[in-house]
Amino acid sequence: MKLIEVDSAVMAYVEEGKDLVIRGDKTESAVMCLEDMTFDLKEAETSNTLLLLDKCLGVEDFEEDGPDLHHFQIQGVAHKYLELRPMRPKLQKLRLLLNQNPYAGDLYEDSPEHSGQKFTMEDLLGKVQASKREIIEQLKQIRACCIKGFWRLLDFDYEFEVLSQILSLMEENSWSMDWIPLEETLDTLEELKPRLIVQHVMDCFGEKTSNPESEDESKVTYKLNEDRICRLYAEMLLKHTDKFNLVEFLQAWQQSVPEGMNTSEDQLKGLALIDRASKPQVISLFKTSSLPENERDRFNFLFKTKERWTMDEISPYLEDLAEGKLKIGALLQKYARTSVGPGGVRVYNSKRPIT
Amino acid sequence: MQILLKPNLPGIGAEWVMIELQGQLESPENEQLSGNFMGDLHFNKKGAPILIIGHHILYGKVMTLEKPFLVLTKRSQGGDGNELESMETDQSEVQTDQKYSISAVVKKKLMFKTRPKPIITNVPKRL
Repeated sequence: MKLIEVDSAVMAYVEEGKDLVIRGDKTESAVMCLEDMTFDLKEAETSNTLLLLDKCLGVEDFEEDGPDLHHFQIQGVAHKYLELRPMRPKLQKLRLLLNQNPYAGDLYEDSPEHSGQKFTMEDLLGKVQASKREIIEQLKQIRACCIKGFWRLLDFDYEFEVLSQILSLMEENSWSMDWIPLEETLDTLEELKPRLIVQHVMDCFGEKTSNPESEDESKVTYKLNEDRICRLYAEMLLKHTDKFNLVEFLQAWQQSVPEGMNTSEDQLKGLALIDRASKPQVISLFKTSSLPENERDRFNFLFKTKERWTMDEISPYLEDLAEGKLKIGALLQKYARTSVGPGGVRVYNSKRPIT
Repeated sequence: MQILLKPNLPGIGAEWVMIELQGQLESPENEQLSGNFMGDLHFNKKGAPILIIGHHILYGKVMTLEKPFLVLTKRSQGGDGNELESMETDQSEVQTDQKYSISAVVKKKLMFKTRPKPIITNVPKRL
C-alpha cells in the first residue's frame, strides 16, 4: 500500500474516475501525469506514524442510540508517502526519439539510413515524461506527422522540397497565398508526393480558411503563413554555413522567398543569432530546440555561447521555460546579473561561473 | 514505462481516515503490530478524539487535510495487496503494464500532536 499526497484538483480528477499514469524510463526520476498536466513524484518521509482506518469517522458516526462500541481495522501503517509537485513536462526527448528516423519519402524507407526506430503514440507515452495532451501539442510544434501509425519528423530537405512544390504550384496558377485550394493542390502534386504529406505540410505552414459559401470538403482553401515559411527559408540558408555575413544574408533571404512574401528580422527569433559586435556583422543558426531543457544548463549554454545578452536577444530562448514575460524576468533575476552596456542598453551576463 | 493508477472507489467506504501520531508505535517485546489490538478511540462531546493506548492517553483533533491523500494498492492476482512495493522507476521491473488501484481517498485526519500522558489510577493519597 502506498500513499500519494495530492492537491484538490488531482483529487477531483480521480473522483471523476480518470486514471493517473506514472511515466519514465528506469534511469529517470518518476513523473505522474494527468491528461494534461505533469507532476514530479518524490518520496517524503515523516517521523510521525500514519495509521489508516478503513472507515471515515466523526461525531456523526456515533448516534445517540447506536451501539457504543465499534471495531475498526487499521489498514496500514506508513512513515512515507509520495509527494507531487507540478513541473514542466520533459519534452525534449520527443525530438531526440523522432530524429532517429526522419521520413524522407517512401522511396527511402527501406534504405539503411532509414532503419532507425519508429514510434507509435503508445511508444511515446511510455518513453516521454509528459501528459498525452502535452505530447500531442509538442508533436504539432515540432511538425511531426503520423505516417502509417508512426509519428515521424520530416527530413529537413524533404520538407523543404514539399513546401517548394506547393509554392511553385501557387506561382504557376497565380493563386493568392491566402487562397490555396487544397483539393487541387493534392491532386496536382499526387504524382510527386503522397497526399498525406502534402496535406501535413499545408497544415504546418498554413491554416484552413473558413469558407462561408460552402461546407464542401473539396472546396477547402488554405491561407499560408508568411512568417513560418520565411523561417524555413532562413533555416535552409543558414543550415549549411557556420556564419553568414548579415547584410548578404538578409539580401539572399529576401530573394529566396516566394514573391510577395516579406522577410523580417523578427521571424528569426529563437532560430538565429546575430552578432552585432563583429565586423562585419554576422548571423548564425542557433535554435531554441537545440538548447538544454533544464534551466541551469540552459543559462550555462546561453552564456557560454555569448557573454552578454540584451533582453530582446535572450527572451526567445527562454520563452519555453517561462510562461509570460513576468516569468522571464524572474528567471533572469535568478541566473543573470544586469549591467548597462555601451549605448545605455541593459545587458545580462551570467551570475554563476560558466562550466 | 507506464504505470497505470486506476481509480477503484466504490462510493461508500472509499473514504478512509488517517490517524497521525508522533513518533513510533511499538508493541512490547517487539511483537508484530499486525493482528494486535492497538487501543480505544473516543470522541468527547465536542467531537475531539481521545486515543487510549495501553496506559497512555492522547488528546487530538479532527483536521480536514489541505492536501488529501490517495491510497494505492497493487492490483495483482495472487500477491498480497498490502505488500509495500517501491514505485521508483529505476527498479528492475519488467516493462509491462504495472497496475495499481486507487482504492481509497483520505481527506480527514485525526491529529494527535501532543505527547501521550500516562494514566495513573488509584494513586494513594498518603503512603
